[in-house]
Amino acid sequence: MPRKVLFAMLVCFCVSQEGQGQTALSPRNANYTIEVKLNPAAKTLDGTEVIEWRNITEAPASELQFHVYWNAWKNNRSTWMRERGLDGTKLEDVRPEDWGWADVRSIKIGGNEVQAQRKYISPDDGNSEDQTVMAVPLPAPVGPGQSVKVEVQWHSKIPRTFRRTGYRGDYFFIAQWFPKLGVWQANGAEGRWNCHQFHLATEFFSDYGVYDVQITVPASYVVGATGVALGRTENGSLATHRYLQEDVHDFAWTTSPDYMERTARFEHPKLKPVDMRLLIMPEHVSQAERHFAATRATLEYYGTWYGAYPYGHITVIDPAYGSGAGGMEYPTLFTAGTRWLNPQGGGSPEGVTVHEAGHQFWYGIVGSNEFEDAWLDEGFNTFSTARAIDAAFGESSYVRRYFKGFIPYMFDEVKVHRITNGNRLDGYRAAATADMQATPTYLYFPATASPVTYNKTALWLNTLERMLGSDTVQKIMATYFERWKFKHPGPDDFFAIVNEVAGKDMTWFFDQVHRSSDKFDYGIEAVRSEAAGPDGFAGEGTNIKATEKKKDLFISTVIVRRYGEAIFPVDIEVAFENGEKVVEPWSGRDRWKAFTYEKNSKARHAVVDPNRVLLLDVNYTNNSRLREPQNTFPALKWASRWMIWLQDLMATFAFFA
Amino acid sequence: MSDPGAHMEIKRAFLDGLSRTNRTGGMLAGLFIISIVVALPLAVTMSDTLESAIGASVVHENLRTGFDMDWYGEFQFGRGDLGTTFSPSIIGAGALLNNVEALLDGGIFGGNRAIVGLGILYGLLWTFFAGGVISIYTDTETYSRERFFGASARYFFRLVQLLVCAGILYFLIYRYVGKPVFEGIPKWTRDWTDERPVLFLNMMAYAFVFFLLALVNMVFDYAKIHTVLYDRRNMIAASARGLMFVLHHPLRTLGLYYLAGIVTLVVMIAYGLIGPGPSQSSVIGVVFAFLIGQAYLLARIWTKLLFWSSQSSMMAAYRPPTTSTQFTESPA
Repeated sequence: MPRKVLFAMLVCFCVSQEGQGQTALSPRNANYTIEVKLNPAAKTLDGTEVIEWRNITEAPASELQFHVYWNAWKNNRSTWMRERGLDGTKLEDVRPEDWGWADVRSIKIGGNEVQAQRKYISPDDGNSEDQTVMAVPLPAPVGPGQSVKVEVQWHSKIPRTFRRTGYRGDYFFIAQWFPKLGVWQANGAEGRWNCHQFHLATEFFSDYGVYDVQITVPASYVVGATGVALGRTENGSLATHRYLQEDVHDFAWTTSPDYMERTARFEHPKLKPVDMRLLIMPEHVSQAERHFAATRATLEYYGTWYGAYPYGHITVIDPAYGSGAGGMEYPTLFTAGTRWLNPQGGGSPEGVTVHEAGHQFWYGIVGSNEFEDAWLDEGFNTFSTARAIDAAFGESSYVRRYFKGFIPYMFDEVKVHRITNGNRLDGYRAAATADMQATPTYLYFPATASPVTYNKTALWLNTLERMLGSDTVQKIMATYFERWKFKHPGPDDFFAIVNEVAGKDMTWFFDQVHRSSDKFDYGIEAVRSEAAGPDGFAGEGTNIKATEKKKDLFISTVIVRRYGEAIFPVDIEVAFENGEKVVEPWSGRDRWKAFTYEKNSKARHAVVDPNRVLLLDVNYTNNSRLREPQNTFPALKWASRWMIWLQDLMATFAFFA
Repeated sequence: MSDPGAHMEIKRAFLDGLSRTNRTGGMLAGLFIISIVVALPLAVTMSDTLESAIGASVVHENLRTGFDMDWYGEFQFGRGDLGTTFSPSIIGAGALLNNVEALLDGGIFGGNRAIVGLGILYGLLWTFFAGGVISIYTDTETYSRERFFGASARYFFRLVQLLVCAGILYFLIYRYVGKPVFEGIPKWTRDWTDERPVLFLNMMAYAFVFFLLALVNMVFDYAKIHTVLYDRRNMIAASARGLMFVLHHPLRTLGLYYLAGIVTLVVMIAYGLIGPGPSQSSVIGVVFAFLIGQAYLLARIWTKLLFWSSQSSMMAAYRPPTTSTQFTESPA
């Protein structure tokens, strides 16, 4: 037997001991054994898969529904493409070879060919030209606890990346690449497939299982994939890489002749060690340690806050320039993304690395439905990322990229904060009323789906943290993680845990932030102080006398207003010139409220929500008001600085005049 | 440089230009004051805009001591007025990078209308004064305000014609060189997976655009000088003379232009390095930061005068010897 094969078998045996025989962490009811071959010249894949699916509900299933994601890029009539056009975005420079598709050529159930019976369905929008969901009737229903084995053969054309997956030159990032079962869900004896069409604004949802995948590529190509590499066998100019991963709900892989490999290890006294493998582009090798540092930070903070990362290994991918594959998560593998020139302290690539590594927890381990409740993973992860970045790296500085984005310049003294940068307040502000968050994500308006999903959730989670305390929110999220790991939770599951851990009914909170698209905006309309004592006369009969103003006594009035439609209880802080401060609670329900004080000092200023608990308030500038404004100096300061920019611009005009 | 004579002439013209520029401090000061006067109305408008946006909020304290990015997000939201030009990148070197990028991308014409209008007005003002400036540098008689303004008025409409010709050429460069090149690069490199060669290609494109802009600028600088030196009335002919002068003395003209350009670059880099950050919180601090900025702008105006004075010296070196400053025909 050739030595190479013997060696491969030995590796298979040794390495697989890490995974095999391990207690199942998840139901493992959708297991995939896949073989795929890449043709890099033709940009095609040929694949076969054997799916073993077990019905873990109480309702029998009479058909199977599969996602065939790549058909979203078959032409411009798919639902994905039509939604892309909704915001006016036009496809530019798309050539015939750029499109992608997946052609299922054979489906066998129980050894019987049923390909002819399959049909494409469009359960979300009735778009008959969309072919991203394929339904296949079962010869016999699969009852509760029963299993079925399905063999699928397909041929795909790899797209030039429209979103996340595809090729650029000889670089390939392959995701959502195989016909994948949806999720069979039941309410008692009634079941249905949760198998949405591929939408622009949503990601993915599938069941947990074991993935055993063999990938054949040119021998000179480096491969990275979900799971552990069990071995590599060469056959002429080709090489087949085998990867295995248990307890995951997806599998992605990447290959390029240009990848350089770096490895490191994460170790923590209270957490399981994790082997980190980084596949990085040659021009970014100097940033390898930055990727490891960010991944370590994620494993440490998420692990100690929520729960340990269970898999023991993680692959970090630095995608090729222009590949469009950056900033995305897959089980035990994620793509970061950086630039050749990227100053330390500017937040990149640390931000995207922490975020995508963090998705191992929210989405990977807690498998919420990204079609319907994307905020449950994206929002949670955005909040967690901001928190982890703050803890690990502190504030970053503002970076502007010049000359087509190639040349960065970092403004060291201009800091970006967790609220605006981490929680993305600016993006939320522009889309605050775009959609009610409780709407299924796939029905959001595509152009504003992201701020409603990512930003709004991060902001209200941070608000909740400020309301209930960081320890309580920490406990809420850790409880949610522990209780729902390797399962498919929904919004109500999370809300129930909030109420349970907080010890109070927070329905009113989620009515405002989640079940409404109203905007939050509180402000101080007026702050006045005048000498106490009424004008006019007082007294009766012969005692009617003109009143006198009292010296050193003032009546101060503060008017607070609710400018937005959303309601939130807030505090009002009034500061007086003698240093005294008064804090009053307000339900925030009425449109306005006046607070009056009689003191021997004038009011200096008033602030609504002085501790900035309500991070969803779109205008924090109007939250405070000085009785005597002091805005002239800062205005002059910054106008004088702006004037120098303007004069320099004029000098440039004049130079060429 | 293969011609040692050229090297000496460049050096002589440069040093002569330097000497003349440094002797015309009054002219420099006048042009600098005009720069302030032209920019001031919009600066006041910006101050009012900022004051209105800050309102009576305690946020003023953050802006007093630094730049508040949280406030900035609110300030920018939904804004369509002059305030759209205000950003943290106006600080220090950012101001210069913003403007160099706008120049090379052609974005200088696509910005706020008030600023574009102001730029055109300022360009016209410089065109007006160019005649006076060049006449001072090309004549051996001493500077006087009457001579300066007299020459400015005398040559203004002729130099405006040159400005229009140059403007057309600049437009053609942006429209038919810059735009297709920058739009083409992503298409030509659509399968490149390494950022570095793409970066290099873009930087080469920027360098090429700048070279063309600078070439046009140089030719029309010599056209202006020729107009004043020989009291030329036909601006097409003056443009041709400017071009011919450059073609006949490519090493000298390009060498001198880039030498003066290096001085300009040094001035810009110096400001980029020492330009104040955002944290001045006292009146003295703000005034000091403003004065540093004005010192930089004074130096920038000085460098433009250096271009004209050294180029005047270069062109005058080829003037046939005569006692009169008026010529009906210039040597090639």
